Amino acid sequence: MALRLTVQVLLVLRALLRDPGRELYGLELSEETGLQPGTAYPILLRLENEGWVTSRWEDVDPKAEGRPARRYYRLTAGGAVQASAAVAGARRGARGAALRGLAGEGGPA
Amino acid sequence: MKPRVGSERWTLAVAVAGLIVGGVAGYDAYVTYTAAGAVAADVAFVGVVVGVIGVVVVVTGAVGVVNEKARGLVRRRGGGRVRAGAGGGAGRSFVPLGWWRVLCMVSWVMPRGSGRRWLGEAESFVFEVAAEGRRAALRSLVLSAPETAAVMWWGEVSRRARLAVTGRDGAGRGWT
Repeated sequence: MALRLTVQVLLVLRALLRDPGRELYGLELSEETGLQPGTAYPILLRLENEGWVTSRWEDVDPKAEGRPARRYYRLTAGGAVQASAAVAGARRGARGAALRGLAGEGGPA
Repeated sequence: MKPRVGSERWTLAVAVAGLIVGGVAGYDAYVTYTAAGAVAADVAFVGVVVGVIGVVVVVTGAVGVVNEKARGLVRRRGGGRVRAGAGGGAGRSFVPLGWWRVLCMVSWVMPRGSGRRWLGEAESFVFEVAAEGRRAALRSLVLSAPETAAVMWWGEVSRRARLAVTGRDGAGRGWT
């Protein structure tokens, strides 16, 4: 099941690339990309299967926090390189306009 | 197993009725197969199908309840649910019971650890998302579940293949 670089995948990659060292959880990713969780989770799963992304459960006590633990995602070192190349390639290609349109960007990136 | 809500009682009644009708009609079809086999066999088939579906739904509901108890989720009077200690501490009801059962059912078709993780992520997401977005989020999670399960199984099979070939399952890979 090879990773297809759809516009949605590129949106997720771009959100993760904004600060490659930063970890994002599902709701943050959903808000940054505008994708529903049902779209974002399979993408994250594929990226994880490919080794581009790694994830971990938040180490908190749900009782103390008053909410369930979050699952945090971040790009791996290799994944960041591949994701940068993929997003840059997409921006030059036909998906660049769609990517900008979906993300609500005005000018070219 | 004691039915807990009206819909479960109805489902149980349909299941039992279906099994009785299916059993009687099936016996009848067996005995009089050569004479009136076609009609009796059809009735038997419908009865057995209704019975099987009913039993699956009831068992599914029962396992959903067991899962809820295992996860520390308790029903709150007046509908809705709270998580004891977590969301429950804040007195919030965040995953409707029916939706939660659907999520539990769907998670069974996923690899075991991955299903639990998916449920945990769904719970976390639905808890934190704004109330007006919960329904859309839940619908989205359920509708994408077949794709998610396929990707999970692909990852699981790949991980096991890697383990068999190299003795390593790939650092950090796999959705568990």
